[in-house]
Amino acid sequence: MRLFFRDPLVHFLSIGVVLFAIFAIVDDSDPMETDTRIVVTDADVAWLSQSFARQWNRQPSATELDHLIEEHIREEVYFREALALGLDIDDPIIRRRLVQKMQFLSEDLAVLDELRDEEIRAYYEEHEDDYRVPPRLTFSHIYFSTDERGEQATRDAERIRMALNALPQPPLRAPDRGDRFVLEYDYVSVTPEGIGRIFGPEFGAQLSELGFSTWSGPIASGFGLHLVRIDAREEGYLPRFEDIRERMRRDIDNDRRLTMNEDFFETLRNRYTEEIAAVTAPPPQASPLHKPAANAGAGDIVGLADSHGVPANAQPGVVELFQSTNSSAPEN
Amino acid sequence: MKGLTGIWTVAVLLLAPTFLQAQQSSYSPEVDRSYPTNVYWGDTHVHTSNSPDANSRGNQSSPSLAYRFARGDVVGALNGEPARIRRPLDFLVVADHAEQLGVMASLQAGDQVLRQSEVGRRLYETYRALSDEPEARRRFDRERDLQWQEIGGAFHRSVWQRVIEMAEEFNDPGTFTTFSGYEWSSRGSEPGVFGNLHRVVIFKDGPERTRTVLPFSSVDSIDPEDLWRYFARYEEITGGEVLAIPHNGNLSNGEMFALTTLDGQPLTTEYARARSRWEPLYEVTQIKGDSETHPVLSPTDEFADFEAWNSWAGTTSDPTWHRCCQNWDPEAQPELKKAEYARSALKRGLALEETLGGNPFKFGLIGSTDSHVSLATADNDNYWGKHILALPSATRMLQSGSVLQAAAVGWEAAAAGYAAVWAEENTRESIFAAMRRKEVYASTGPRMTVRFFGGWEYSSDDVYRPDFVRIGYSGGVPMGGDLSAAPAGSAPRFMIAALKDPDGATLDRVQVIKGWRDASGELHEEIYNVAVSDDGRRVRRDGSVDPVGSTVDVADASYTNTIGDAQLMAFWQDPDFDPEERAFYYVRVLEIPTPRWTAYDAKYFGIDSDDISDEVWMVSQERGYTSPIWYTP
Repeated sequence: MRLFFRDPLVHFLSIGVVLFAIFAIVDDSDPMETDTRIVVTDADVAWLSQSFARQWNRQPSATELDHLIEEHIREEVYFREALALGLDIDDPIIRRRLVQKMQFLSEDLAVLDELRDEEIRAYYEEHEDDYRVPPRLTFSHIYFSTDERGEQATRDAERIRMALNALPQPPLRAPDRGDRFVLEYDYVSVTPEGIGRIFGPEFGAQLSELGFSTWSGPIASGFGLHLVRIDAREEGYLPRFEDIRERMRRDIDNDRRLTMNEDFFETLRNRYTEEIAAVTAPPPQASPLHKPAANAGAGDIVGLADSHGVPANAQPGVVELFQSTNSSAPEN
Repeated sequence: MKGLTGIWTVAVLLLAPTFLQAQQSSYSPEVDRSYPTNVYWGDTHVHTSNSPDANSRGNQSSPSLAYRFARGDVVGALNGEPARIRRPLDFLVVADHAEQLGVMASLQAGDQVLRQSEVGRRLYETYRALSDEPEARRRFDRERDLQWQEIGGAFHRSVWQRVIEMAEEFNDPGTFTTFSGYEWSSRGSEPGVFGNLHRVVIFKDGPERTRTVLPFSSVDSIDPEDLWRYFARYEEITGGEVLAIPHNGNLSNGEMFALTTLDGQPLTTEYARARSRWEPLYEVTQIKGDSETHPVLSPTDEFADFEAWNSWAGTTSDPTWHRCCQNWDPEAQPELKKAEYARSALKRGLALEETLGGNPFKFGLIGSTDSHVSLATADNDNYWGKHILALPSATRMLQSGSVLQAAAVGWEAAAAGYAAVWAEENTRESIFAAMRRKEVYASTGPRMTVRFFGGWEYSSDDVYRPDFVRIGYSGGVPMGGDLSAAPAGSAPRFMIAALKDPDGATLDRVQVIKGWRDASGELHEEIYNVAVSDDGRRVRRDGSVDPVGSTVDVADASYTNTIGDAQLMAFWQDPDFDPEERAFYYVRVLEIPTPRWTAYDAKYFGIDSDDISDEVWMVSQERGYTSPIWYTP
């Protein structure tokens, strides 16, 4: 008996039977009947009352309910007639709406089972770089202007670096050994990314490599050369698993949802074959467009009483769908 | 240009060590430092699908795209291409039009709250049934224009709530700051004429306060004075803070800095107080052109002809032509422009202060993009355009309509600008406070660092001291500040330091621009070259300087930093000072010439140079404008 239940073929067949039975129940399609019979069920009535109640904060009266049912029937009649006339075909809005519904459906199908701790932990190990808190550097720098010193700047910087590093005590105001600098000389607890925003990205990257408490360089920035002394470095670190578990859970779920949506689409897409006409690049543009129409009129500027002529342009692919004249819609 | 006295440029080197001043109370100077040492970069003006004009051209991206792009993520632009900002911004204001805020986006999404209202449901049904037929669409637009306000409070609250929530979601104090905001889009007093009086509105506060109001739109009132009343009520009721930043005076049909109120009355003291209270800043440079000054207004300013929206906002070659609204009498052209450009407005402010006892046009300067494609790009080599039509393409520079409907031609759009803010930290409180005190400056794109201090005591070599910033604050005021009570026989002294964008072009020169009102009531302006890069030139006795030259290879869209300097510093004392005259001073920093976005486009898309009209600007001299320092007798 057990063997019987385990047999995949039995599974297959019984699923088939169940599906067939469901179909038989659900599908009561008598063509004549569906075309002409409108059934308003108890559930429909309940739904109508509920929608009314949501909007008005009270139950509909008997008259109102009758009216709602009447409206519902009216809608249904029009709806069916519209379908029969094929009004849904080639309507971009209905098309967009259906596409949207399909996407929602896909979202809804992507029911995610609760993640287990091991799964999050595995993700944590695999993606730790994404969650790492960046290091922060505290440093001073001495500026050597290449505008001022030209070729000499590198040699000057090297000479002063050696001199400073040979001193038994760090001197006061070491930056005075170099040139004036508009920004600060001392920076406290800045990330390499933040340093990059101030001095240029390459500079930020190089600072992460330097040792402590000794003058290094010269290092080039967007402004010239610099000697740099790192005084403190707060190491970057990976937050504890417990501290970012919830954040990772959201991220994983997000990833999974995207993957499932994409898989769902691929499944659907596999039912189709595609033929795409050879895509040709648009021709280089014709010259008339090129001479800016110095006398072109203000055209259809929203809200402008325009008497200066017509727009000089027939714009390809213009999305001017909802433009109006004398609109209360603002422009720019 | 006047003769120059007391000018030191960076060419002077000070190698002698400067000894420390007496120590302050703590050994660690950081402890007592109370002034801002960081400049934060942002854009206060980006539109998304919530703006009807962006949406109708096909921008259907929620504000999250704008925030993610600005903070440095790689995002899919509206043409599907991956886009990334060169360096992340520190703050962003998504400022969608209050008029029809979120209506189109909600129709597209079939928003439940929208459909719960009778008007909303009807609009939704009409929208869903809409064909591609242009007449039907126009009818629908009219219907929507007339009815959107009637959709109901629940809907408008839900949209505003989403705007707020999105700002909260991306606000990350210390790393990336966002503000809840919107744009009030009044078209000025003349029906049927586009007089741009638009203002970006920025709330300092979080949802507990911003949630209690709805955006005040130009449908509520086209008069900025009503907007200010709304601000006053907001602050009174919530205890919060709000300000507005006007923009595009260049397209205002002579209304932005007019000498009358919207209904034609003379300006009053109350008007002056309210305007300077609520509008401490002006967006002086953006995609729709630069509004610092215009060649018609400043004929002797050799750098005035910069990103002026000539074909639309009035040409210099045919001064009768002001396409935005009407043909202007050539004689009237300067009068019109005086009410449209920032430098002129600052001058007018001095005159008004004399008569009104308050200066309505006392504003600091910032730049922002006004992008309608959700991407805050002001870099010439990474410029994603104004509208969907102006996304990078081989044709965008030659199309008209890609910027403002069928108005200016595509190439006239500027890849500009950003707002630089001197603040203690990257938080709402700190950045908003800096905006309030005008310690901000505008850039057309490059992230140059600019310091500007004014006072009476600075000595000529203070600017060369390593702690000149401390001296600057302790002995005077920073940009945006006020000087008065001139000591007998002395003239104001200024310290200026400018540092190039670490990832950009070197600097050509630093200028001080002075405006003043003389005893007879006449207004003047003067430009002083106070620091110039070496390049074998110097400031002549008459104040003039040779051009820095150009290393731009237009065909290759490249340049080298072999000319210009990385940083320029100057001490400057006003040589023409009269303590009886009201004046303002602001700094203009010019980069060396670099390829304009049109040159990068031509190279990238392989556009034949013969196909590009000579009119098209291919080289740009980018710049920064600081907020002024005012002197009041």
